[in-house]
Amino acid sequence: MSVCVPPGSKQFFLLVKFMLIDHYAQLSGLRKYNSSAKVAFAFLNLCIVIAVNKITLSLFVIVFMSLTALLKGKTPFKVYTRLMSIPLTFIVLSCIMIGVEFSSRPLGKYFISLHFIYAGITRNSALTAVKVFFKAMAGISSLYLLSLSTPVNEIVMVLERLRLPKIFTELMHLIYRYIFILFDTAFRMQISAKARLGFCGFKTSCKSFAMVAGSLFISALKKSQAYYDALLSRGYDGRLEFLSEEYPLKARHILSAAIYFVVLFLIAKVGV
Amino acid sequence: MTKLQNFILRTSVVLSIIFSVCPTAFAMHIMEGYLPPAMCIVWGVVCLPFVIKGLFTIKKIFAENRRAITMLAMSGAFIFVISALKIPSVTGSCSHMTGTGLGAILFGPCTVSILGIIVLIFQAILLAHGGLTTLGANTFSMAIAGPLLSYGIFRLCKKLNVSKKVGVFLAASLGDLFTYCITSIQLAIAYPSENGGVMASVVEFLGVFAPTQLPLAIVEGILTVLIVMALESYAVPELKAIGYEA
Repeated sequence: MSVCVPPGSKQFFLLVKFMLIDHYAQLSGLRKYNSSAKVAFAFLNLCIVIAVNKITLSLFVIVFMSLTALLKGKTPFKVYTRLMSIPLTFIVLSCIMIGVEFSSRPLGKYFISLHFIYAGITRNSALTAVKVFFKAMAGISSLYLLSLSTPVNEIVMVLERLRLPKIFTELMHLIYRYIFILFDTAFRMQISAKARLGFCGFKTSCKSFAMVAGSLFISALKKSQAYYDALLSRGYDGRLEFLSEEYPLKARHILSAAIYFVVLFLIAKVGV
Repeated sequence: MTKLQNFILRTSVVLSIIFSVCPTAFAMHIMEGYLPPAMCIVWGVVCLPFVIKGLFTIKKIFAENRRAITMLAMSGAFIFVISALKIPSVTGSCSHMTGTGLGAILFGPCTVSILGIIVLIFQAILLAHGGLTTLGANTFSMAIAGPLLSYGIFRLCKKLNVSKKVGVFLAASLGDLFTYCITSIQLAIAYPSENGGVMASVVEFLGVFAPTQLPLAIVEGILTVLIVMALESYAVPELKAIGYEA
């Protein structure tokens, strides 16, 4: 967490509430697993889920992923359900849109007349909608297992090993660090704006928000100059080196991942 | 009550329940696992030339000015934080800026494509908005198409001597709307309507997200104008340092 926020203070809780996922990733029981393996597992799993697109497989993945995150990763149940509800609006709305068909004549089993057009649900459209819903939930639960067990700097290390352009990963490392600093600054600014009667009513809120954003930008650029000086004084010559720590890959983990994928394969073959 | 009234009432109840359960309406990120594999790959490939151009631009900036590394990183973090802060809302649900318009006006579209893709990865991992397989589609709509249009409108307004406030407002809000249109098209191509085809689906998706996106685009426009005005009165040297000319 950011250095400038004392733990236990109100700001600390605000920050934790905000960066909920990062906070629990640091505390996770799966933290000490090999991070490259975790990324590979999550990515392969995602690919299988979206490529196979079967309800049984999606359901299995949802159950497996949430149980692993809750039992092995020790993410609190309340936090996990709250996280799962974040993407729900988008998914539900767009699944309804997939399920409902509009046309100039009545079609499907259930339809209602809207004067000029008919809105109806056909068997196929409903099936697609349900499939997409479960597929998306399965995808999200696999992503959560990754992000709730692996802090971002470790994911960036994995990307570095994949030989992504150095500039790109350096920027990612730095941006990840600066996010916390800027969040801290932004929260302080919002609190002081509130203390000066900002953020009340729509008009004042807009003005306060813009002032906070403007001063945040100025302080960000000021800080960036200070950090550059700090880099130079530590011998920066155009390359940043970050300490990478890799946890050993255990045979037990490979075996359980292999069993998992065999089960997944069987479900993909048999399931509907 | 007629059947239609009954339907409208029920739909509104369902919608209000959905929005009260989950009051966070982030601007149109396509969620993880939503797109079929072919679409994920296609949108990723479409993004490639822009991202490569962005990488070359950034490389050139670094070669000319090493100080740029911390500055660009801070700018990326700034876009992330701005897009994560709650903005004053009209509809009651809490909403967020996309920050793409502001980014494009301040840093130019090439830089924003790279900063945008990093911000999108972090949003997916840290905030659960968007996803890794849908990264290509999201990058195209939010980090490439939106900023490009914003930047184009901003330059055009400058050339036509339109007042700066109007130019910034149009750039930010139209960029936001364009992002939302592109996302709707992406969703429609992925899941076309059976009898209406892609066009019918585009209209459907545009319609269902319009109530949240239209007010959001206007608020984003107003906020961007206010932010740019605040910056121009307090931060002229900093703005010059990032290459933005007033």
